[in-house]
Order: sequence, then C-alpha cells, then structure tokens
Amino acid sequence: MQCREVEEMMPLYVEGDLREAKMQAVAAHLQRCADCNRLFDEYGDSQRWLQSYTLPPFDDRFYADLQQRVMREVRKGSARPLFFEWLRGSWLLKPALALAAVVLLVGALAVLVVLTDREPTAAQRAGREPVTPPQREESPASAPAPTAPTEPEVREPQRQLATTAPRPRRAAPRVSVAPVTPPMTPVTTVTPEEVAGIFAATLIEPVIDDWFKPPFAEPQGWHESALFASQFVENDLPTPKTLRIELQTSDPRIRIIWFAPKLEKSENRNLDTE
Amino acid sequence: MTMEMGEIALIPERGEFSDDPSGGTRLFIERAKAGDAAAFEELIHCYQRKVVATAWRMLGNEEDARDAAQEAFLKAFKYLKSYQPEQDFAGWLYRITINACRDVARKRGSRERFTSFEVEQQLGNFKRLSSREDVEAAAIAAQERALVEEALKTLTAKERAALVMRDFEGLTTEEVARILGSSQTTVRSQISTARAKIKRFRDRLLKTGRR
Repeated sequence: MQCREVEEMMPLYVEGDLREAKMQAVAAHLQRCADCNRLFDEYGDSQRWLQSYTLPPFDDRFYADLQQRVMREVRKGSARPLFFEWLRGSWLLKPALALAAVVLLVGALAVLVVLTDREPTAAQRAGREPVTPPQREESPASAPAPTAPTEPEVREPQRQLATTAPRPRRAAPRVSVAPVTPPMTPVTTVTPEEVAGIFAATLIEPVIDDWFKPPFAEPQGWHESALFASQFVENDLPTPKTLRIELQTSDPRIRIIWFAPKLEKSENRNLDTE
Repeated sequence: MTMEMGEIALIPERGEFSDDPSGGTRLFIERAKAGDAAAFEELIHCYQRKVVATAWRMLGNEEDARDAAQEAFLKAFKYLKSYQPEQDFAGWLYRITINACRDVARKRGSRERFTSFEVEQQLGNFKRLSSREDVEAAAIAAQERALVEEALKTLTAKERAALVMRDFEGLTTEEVARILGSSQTTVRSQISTARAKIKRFRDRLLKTGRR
C-alpha cells in the first residue's frame, strides 16, 4: 500500500471506521513508514482536541425554563397542523409551490383555450350572417343557421322559406356567402338534384317582402340579385317578390344564401351557370 | 447525568443517547401517547440534557440549542402517536432532534453561532464557580470550546451532522446513515472529509500560535 492511499484513509482509520481488510493493510504499512506514523499521531491529537468540546455549564434554570416553554405549548395545543409543519420545514416547499403555480397556470390556460375556442364561433356567426336571427345565434345551443336548427335546410324549401320569413328579427339582414360556423344540429346536405329542383322553380314560393331590408353595405362581391333587391330598400320602395334561397353545402360551415326576384315560369333561365 | 450547582458539565459518554428506556420511562411513554401531559413532562425531564447536548454540538450556541430542543420536544409530542413501543425511544427522539437542529440552522443562516468565552462570561457562567482555580479552568474550557466551534464552522451542515453523531454521540456509520437518510459510503466520505478539515484547522491554529 502506498503512502498516498494511507493518507487518504487515515481520517477513517484513526477511529476504526475502515473495513477489516483495509484496517489491517494500513496497520501493516504504519509499522514500516515513519511519515505515515507521524500523520496517524497528528490525527489522533486532532480527534482528542475535537472531543474536548465540552458542553457549556447549562444550569438547572436553563433546563427548567426549557421544560416550561415546551409544556406551555403542549397545554395550549398550539402545535401547527402536521401538514403545514412539514411544509414549513420541507425542502420541497419551494418546488411544491412552483409546481402548484404551474398546474394552476396550465389549468387557467386550458379553460381560456376552451372558452376562446367557443367565442369566435358565436362572433363569426353574429358578424357574418346578419340574416340569421340574432337571438338564436347568440344562444350557444342554437345552430348558426338562420333557420330553426332542427329544420332541414333545403329538403323542403317551401316550408323553409315560409318559416324563415317571420323568424328573422334582425333589422338589416344581409346576404352572406362567408363560411358560417357549424350548426349545433345536423343540417341536411343539399344534393345536386335538389339544387336543380330548386332552380327549376316554381316550387319556390316567394319570400316575404316587407321584412326584407338588406343593408348591402358592400356591393362588391354581392350577388347581382342582392344588389337588385337593395335598390328598393334604399329608395323606400316596396320590394318585389323576392326569393330567399339558402343552400347548405356539404361543408357544414358553408351555406350559400342569396335573394333573387321571383321568376315566372317563362322567365326561368338556366341558372346553373349563375 | 445530573448537574450540581457550579459543576462544569462533562461531555456525555459516547453512546449515551442510544440507551433503551427503563421500565418507568416506558410507562411515561405509554401515558404520554394517550395524551397525558404530565407524563410527557416527565419524559422531557428524562431526556432534556441529552437533547440539549446534541443540539448544542450541532448548533454551537445556547439560544439555538434551546430553540432546537424546544422544537424537538414539541415535535416528539405531536408525533408520539406514531411511535411504536418496539422502537428505541431514545433513537427516535434523537432523529427528531437532529431534524430540529437542521431546521434551526437553516432558519438562522450564517449567523454567528458559537458561544465565545466572552459571551459565556457575560452570561455569568463563571460566577457560580467557587474557587479561582475553578474559574480559571472554566475559562480555559470556554476558550477551547470557542476554538473547536470555530473549527466545526468550517464543515458543511451534513458533514457536521455526520461528525457529531459519529464522534460525539458514538453512533455507528450504519446508524448515522439511517438517521441522515444517506448511504454508508456517503456517511464515511462525509466523516472523513470532516475530520480532515478539523485537523487542517488545528494545524493552522498551531502554526499561527493562536493558542
């Protein structure tokens, strides 16, 4: 065994804290190495000096005072609840508080995301589909469709038009082809045949007229028929028979609504191209 | 160990804290567990000197030692319901004391901890001594205490705890490891480092001639 190794083990050897084999190895080395022997003596002196660390003279008054303090607290029952006492002294306090803060923050963000996710839906509906009844739109349970959510949109156009006529209460409904938020209730998808059937006709009943007052703030991009209808409103003229046509596309977010003057049978055009 | 007026406290024997409670103490433990405050007061009387001795060695001054001892007994009363009769009560109380000392040390931070000779003089610790030789011996002992405390201040909290338990309380490295919640290898390493630091401090002391 080398002196360097013995020097490293000496603090433990001096009090017998090494394993038996190492104790014997160090002892054997000390028998032939004067320097290591001197080191052993120095560590011995140091340990004896350390163990001279005597208690100061605490007298009986000190102990009596300690006893009274403890018993006062015991009788008062003022010991803190176990949890808070642990928490106060726990090295986990700060990380625990940090973790709790993170969990609260994540929870708050999650709630915010959920609420925000729903809000644009209502806002979009309100902003982009003015023809639809605002009351129904504002209800979170209601469909964004302008018609009753439970009613199929296009299957029975007559009924739809008749029922939608009195329903809108918004002062200035507008035509919109912007995407709408998905209705809460299922909406019937329009088939091409149904579309053709609608245009074919005379099956379409005229829509109410009096309530129809399109704002048409932005003529560009509006359908020609909508522009046509607006002229009567602005000039305070009774609107002619106007057709309100709504088509629900296969995409539940997109519904096409337009207003067209009622056409007589003879005036039917091939509207497929429009 | 009992104290007479004017008697300088001797260092308790190694291993004194680990004795098993006597039959009478066991009765006090059972009654204190049932909520008998008077029985708990008797337990305080039995163990307070050992608790204070450990606290003082861990913390180095009277005020911190008293706070730690008070905290240790209050915790012992609170946790007494979880104490099992087959456990070593002294060892159980000792663990609570060590934890209380660590709490107090953490709260106090880097405040000057040791009780110097001058402080002891102010506390009147020498006034009770009858003869001049006693006063002189007490003063020397106080100075030695201050120097040793200065050496102990060079240790980390864990090194000091391991050293106090091994070299002052006489616990084995296995017992120290269990109380501190560390491995025996770690405890041996801490003890080795602590003793080496104490020796280096003393070597510097001898070289500079502070004694």
